[in-house]
Amino acid sequence: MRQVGIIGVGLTPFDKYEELQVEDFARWAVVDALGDAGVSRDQIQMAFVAHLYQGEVLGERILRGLRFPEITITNVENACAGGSTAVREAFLAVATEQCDVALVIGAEKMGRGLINFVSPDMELTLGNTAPAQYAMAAQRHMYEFGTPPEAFAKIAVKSRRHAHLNPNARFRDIVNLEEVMTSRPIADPITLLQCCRNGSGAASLVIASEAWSAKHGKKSVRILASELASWMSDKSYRDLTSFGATTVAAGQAYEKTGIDPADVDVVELHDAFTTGELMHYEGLKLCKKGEGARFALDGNTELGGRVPVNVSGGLLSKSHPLGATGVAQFCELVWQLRGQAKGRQVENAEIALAHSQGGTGLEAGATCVTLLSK
Amino acid sequence: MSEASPDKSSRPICEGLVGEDAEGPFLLGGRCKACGFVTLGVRDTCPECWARGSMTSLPIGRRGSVYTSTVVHQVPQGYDAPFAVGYVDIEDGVRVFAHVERVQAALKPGTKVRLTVAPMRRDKDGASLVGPLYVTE
Repeated sequence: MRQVGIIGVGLTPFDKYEELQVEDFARWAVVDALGDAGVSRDQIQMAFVAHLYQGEVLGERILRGLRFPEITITNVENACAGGSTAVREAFLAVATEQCDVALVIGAEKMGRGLINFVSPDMELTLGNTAPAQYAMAAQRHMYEFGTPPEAFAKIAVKSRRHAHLNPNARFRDIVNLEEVMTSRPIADPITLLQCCRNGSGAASLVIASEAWSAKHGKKSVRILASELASWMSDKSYRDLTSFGATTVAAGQAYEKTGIDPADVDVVELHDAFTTGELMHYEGLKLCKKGEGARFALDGNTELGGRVPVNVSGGLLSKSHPLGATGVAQFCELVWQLRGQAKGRQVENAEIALAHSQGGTGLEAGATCVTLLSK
Repeated sequence: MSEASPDKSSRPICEGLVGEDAEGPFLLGGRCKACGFVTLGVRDTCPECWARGSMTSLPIGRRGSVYTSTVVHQVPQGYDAPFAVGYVDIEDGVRVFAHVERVQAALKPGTKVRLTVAPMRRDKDGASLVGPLYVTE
């Protein structure tokens, strides 16, 4: 495997975009990423395009409208982890010399309300929902470790505090702990302000081998490792106080790179719900198992804290256009590692971690963990 | 063995999930004749030994223990809010998602429960859809 890096990023900030087609606002992100990298459409050899609900050959539909040549395009579906999976596929394609320069796109146009799962599943037939799943995991965590509801709510307060500093975030008003805890109950202990909202938007990256980047004078943020693991429970007993695939993917990423979790300077992780973020602190080994509440309440993951998490505002404050979400995390982390995150810069950030997960129910899903360095 | 049907205007919310016999309601389970593995539902292929057509039906889940539960306030279409759901550990390592009784809040982990059949929601024609509800013993 040769060294690979990200040389350009583009983000269409998440919003509703009701009047636009997904192809339209996805193209803005592509044009921005190519502009940021300083590469032309003729230099892109492959594209990896993530989405969940946008129909057939989304990548082809986006790129034909930018007059791309007949390149290799792979459309990627991995539920809410589709974006990060597409980044990983592009990284592997370049690392294994399938191409020198690859494009990643994540794009989604969504409606309102609870996410509409399309695969048949008994739990969903019986009325299970995404927030109910994260609530049940949280209830077990509260039972085993005495985690107070305030620890989850504090994460929503932090998210908005960060989003207030980020012009790319969608929900930027500061909220306090009481407002979070007394917002409309969704699934106990999760309240409305602890849930990510649906959104539409797109993000795009240009990924290249470092040899190619050096030859063409491009600055690059290195991808150290990208690990993908699965959660597969089939009506069987398992520990719901951890997301097992997060532990596995993160463990593999740390082992492959020799990076210690304490060396990570900035994290973008999958905060679809506050309860998930707290459990991911433990799964990513930012703190010990069962100590997520203390870690959150002590402010370790706030800007200025030991390891700032979701400085972009995360899914909670940016909303969650499924396929775009995982790719957008890389936009933020590249800006952080370049020192370009104006107003919300993590000082001296050198090592970054991206984490995203998706699935249907708590029984089948994918989690991707990627480590980046300056 | 027959599908549970408490009254004429009701039908199961999910086919092949709940049955009823002289001892009361149960969940339809399967046991592999080849290796003995027990599943929720009668599967075509045994998940453990991969034998095909080897699963025989078996009543399971009459009793269980709550692993976790929550009260859901934002509910899918057709349901009345709020309701309580949980994961219930039943025999042979099977864990099932089901509605659970709502006493004060959701049921505490470890609560012993037994299976009943109760209305879950109405369909668009107003018929009652019934399914599993675990209540405290």
